[in-house]
Amino acid sequence: MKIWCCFCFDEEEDDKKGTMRGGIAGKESEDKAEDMENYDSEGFLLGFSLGSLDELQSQVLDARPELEEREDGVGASACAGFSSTVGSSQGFDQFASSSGQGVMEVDLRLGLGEELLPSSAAFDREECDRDSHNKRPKVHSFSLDWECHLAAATSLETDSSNFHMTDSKTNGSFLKNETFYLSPLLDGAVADSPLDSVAGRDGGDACSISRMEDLVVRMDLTDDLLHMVFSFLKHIDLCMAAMVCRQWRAASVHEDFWRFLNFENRNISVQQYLILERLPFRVDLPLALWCLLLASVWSRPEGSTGA
Amino acid sequence: MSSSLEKNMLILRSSDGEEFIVPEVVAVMSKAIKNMVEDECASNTIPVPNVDANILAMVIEFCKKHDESEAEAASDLKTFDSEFVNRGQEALYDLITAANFRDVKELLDALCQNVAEMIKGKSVHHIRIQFLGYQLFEILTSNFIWNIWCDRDFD
Repeated sequence: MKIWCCFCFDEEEDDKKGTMRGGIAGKESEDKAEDMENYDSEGFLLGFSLGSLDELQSQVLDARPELEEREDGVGASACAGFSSTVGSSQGFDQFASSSGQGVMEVDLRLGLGEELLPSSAAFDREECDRDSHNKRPKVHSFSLDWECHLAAATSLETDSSNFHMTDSKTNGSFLKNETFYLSPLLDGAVADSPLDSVAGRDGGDACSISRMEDLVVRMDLTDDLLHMVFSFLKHIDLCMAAMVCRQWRAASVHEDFWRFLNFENRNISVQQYLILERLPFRVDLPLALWCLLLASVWSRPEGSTGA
Repeated sequence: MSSSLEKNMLILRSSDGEEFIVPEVVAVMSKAIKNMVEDECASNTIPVPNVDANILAMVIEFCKKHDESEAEAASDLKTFDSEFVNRGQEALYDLITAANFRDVKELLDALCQNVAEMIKGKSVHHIRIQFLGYQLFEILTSNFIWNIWCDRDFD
């Protein structure tokens, strides 16, 4: 990002830096669209948002020399250069008019269809062993891990002050339960506590797993149910849901949900789109727009739930 | 559908043996039961496995309401739906499974929408806690084991 910054602002534009930074911090970019500093700050913002995406980082780096020439040209004749760029970019007018109405629906059927083919193939491949690997192994390995640590703790004769410390640190009721169950074990007395399966760990970990699962209410939806639930979600929530677990991610990348992207109320300005169009190489425009949408989602202020 | 057919009553038997007498129009809201009736492979009593009496009663209540108020305003039905699905998470899960299994489309839509509302606007952390019971694992892994691990002497 620093490199980008240095590149964007040449030495003769040093006097403008203060105002540019102000523009960046304030993010007030709507009404000063034709302003020179604002143009630069938009470039900066785009560099930042694209730089945060791994796929496009190298492309952005490639694009720098070309953009440098552009910057010089704009520096010579600011308004004229800008307007000529506006005129030369095809599709920009359409974009501007539709974004002026506030609604922008882009059909990504072709681009994303190809894009999603590998992932759906992976989805199919993954599907066969989903049930065996679905969230259970984590529990399983965790409980093994846990017991291993328990054994280590008992063998090292760690006294129970450890657990009291842990108890005072966290307010979780689950942990309190566990501490309660564990203390008799550490004292060496296998008590008749309600959770015998933890104490009697020789009996196999299957029962302890089932106990742990009983403690919480789980919603183990099947794949088609998840698909049905996700069809009610917007893209932001879909992205959130994709991060929950492996099954949900596989369900959330389904082609049906990503046919159309909704750019309504997004923080994407015309300049950002413009820079995408002026890149010297052939950018996959749907993919780039998709990245822009994601970037605007991520830069969304905390607390606002979006459209 | 003729009126004589409408008066037909079917007996649904839940997995724990309880029997419900419902009109056929209500019962055929479930596609699975409808198929059975149309194929005439069903006698008067239709077993509904995998669904216990509580959940089956809820599903029948839902279907009855939808059947009665078909002509009424849609908004009325919507409020009923939102109240109907507003239950505990456990009942919700059972209901959604039953609706999926019995293929009751309206109920399934309402339930899925409710679940989607639960997901909406939440962080990943909250979703994990709510749906996967993540809290137990997380607390244990983050504090409990980490403390033991750090207090070990590595020799």
